[in-house]
Amino acid sequence: MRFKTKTRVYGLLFILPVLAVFGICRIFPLFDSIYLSFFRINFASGRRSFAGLENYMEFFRDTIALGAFKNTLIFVLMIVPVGMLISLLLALLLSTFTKRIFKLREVYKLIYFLPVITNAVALSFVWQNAIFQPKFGLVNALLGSLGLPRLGLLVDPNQALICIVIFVLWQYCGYYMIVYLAGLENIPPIYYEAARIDGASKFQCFRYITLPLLAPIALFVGIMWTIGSLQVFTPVYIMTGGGPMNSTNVAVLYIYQSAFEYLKFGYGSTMAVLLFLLIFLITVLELKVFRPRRETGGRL
Amino acid sequence: MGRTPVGYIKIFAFYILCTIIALFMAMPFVWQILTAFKQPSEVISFPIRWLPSSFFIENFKLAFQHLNWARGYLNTLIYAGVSTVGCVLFSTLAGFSFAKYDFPAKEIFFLIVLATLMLPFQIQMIPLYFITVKFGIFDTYFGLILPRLAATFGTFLSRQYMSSIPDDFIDSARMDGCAEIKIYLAIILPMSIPLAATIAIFEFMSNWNDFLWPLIVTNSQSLQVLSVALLGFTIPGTEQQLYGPQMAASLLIILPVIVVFIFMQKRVIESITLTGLKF
Repeated sequence: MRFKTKTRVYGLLFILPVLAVFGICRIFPLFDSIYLSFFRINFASGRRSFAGLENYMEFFRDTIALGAFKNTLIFVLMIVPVGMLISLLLALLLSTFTKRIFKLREVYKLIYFLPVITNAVALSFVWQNAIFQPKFGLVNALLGSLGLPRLGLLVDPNQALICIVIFVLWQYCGYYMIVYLAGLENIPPIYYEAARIDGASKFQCFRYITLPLLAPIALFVGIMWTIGSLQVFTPVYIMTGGGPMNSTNVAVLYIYQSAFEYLKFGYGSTMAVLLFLLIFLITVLELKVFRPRRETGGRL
Repeated sequence: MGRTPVGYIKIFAFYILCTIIALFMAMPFVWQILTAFKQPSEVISFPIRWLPSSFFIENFKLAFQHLNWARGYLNTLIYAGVSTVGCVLFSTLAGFSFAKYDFPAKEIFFLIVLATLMLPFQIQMIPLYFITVKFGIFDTYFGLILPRLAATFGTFLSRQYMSSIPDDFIDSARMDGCAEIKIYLAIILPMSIPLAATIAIFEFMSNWNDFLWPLIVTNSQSLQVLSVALLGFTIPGTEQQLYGPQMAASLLIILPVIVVFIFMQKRVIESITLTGLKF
């Protein structure tokens, strides 16, 4: 072909910008993080001294770091099942709207989706100062006017993490609702019609048509909730700063603080590598355990 | 079709349920707006005061004094805008190449691009910080924008989309002696406007709301984007007077996005569902 060499050169040329950005900003940093995790870095002089596994040993001795990783896992365990359920229920609710009133459905969709697209820093401020504020925030004001005891919320070590969980659920369930909704709309209506002719009840339709066909989407949603929750940072940084008594300290927050506040860049890298491994392992595990089996028995 | 009374009650209950959830979802926004217009004494009054007694705009005045809004908006626009334009151009260009060109190790390069999807930002942030310092782009617009100039999903979607454009367009342009880059700019890109819009909306929104990277890479106030600048509102000791202004300031940050969203709801939702979500 006449264009052969030409397309080779241009083909490579055209992917060059993306490769350069990814190379500099993603792939090199991955290996550099692993490399840095074996070093002590002096911020003032910029000198790096090899430390072997010292940073890793420090992690397993550092009760704050272990606590932060433990809090992250608790956070994930609270968020993922509840988040998956709420977003599914919201999607099921909206999917029952008939075609005739689609416009109205769009209004509800808009409201449920609103927190997803708004600035997380601004939203965290709103929840911290208008909703969770212990003296006159909305929650305690309502409890007070009902004559119920007030809660400590963000200043109570036992409740602070739950407050963050509620905030993140509120923030993102609209997004996963949309993902589920797309899945629900992909199920051909003819399946339900056939089932109805066979005399299946609404619940049977849900159990034997909707659920199995939605399983791959549910797995995707579960994994996305998990990866996202393992990386939670902004609401914790804004609302509690990790307190009270480190009860809301999470992995990314502690990595950020170690590196950019205490200037322990090597140690920060070590924890970043460990978090990366954790995310990778949990994702693989979820894929292995929850991979949807064919439940349809070849009938569909 | 006629409905039985029970049918009407069911429908009624359904709407009530939807509306209660909507109220819960919208409550923080409503409460924020109400608080932004309340006087300091009303904010902390007990029992709870639902509505502000007057149209109190002092909070907005204070918010304006405490933050350099022109600068903040400008910085956020530069960060989100330039990143988005660059990202759309680079990602679609790479997608075009992956779809329509033949070159050595193409599959491997594509796999490398896809693999970056699995890397969380936290594993990149410390080395990225060092890179910006080393290249002298720490605390500059370029340092801020650089990591956002390419997107995995953007490249992937572009390859999918452009594979469906018939080769004839490209071949006939070549016959007419069109330069390769012109083929992309004058033929392929105009044919891919919906694709470009999908990538652009997602990139713009996630960069507009981005926090961690701007927090790390910018130091001077003149470079702060809005979400970082908002941190300036937590001044210890004076918290009580600042609740109102804080709500006003938050409102000024989220309002533009909400307005855009209301007008382009379908597009935005489609874009975010297709492209994924950044936490």
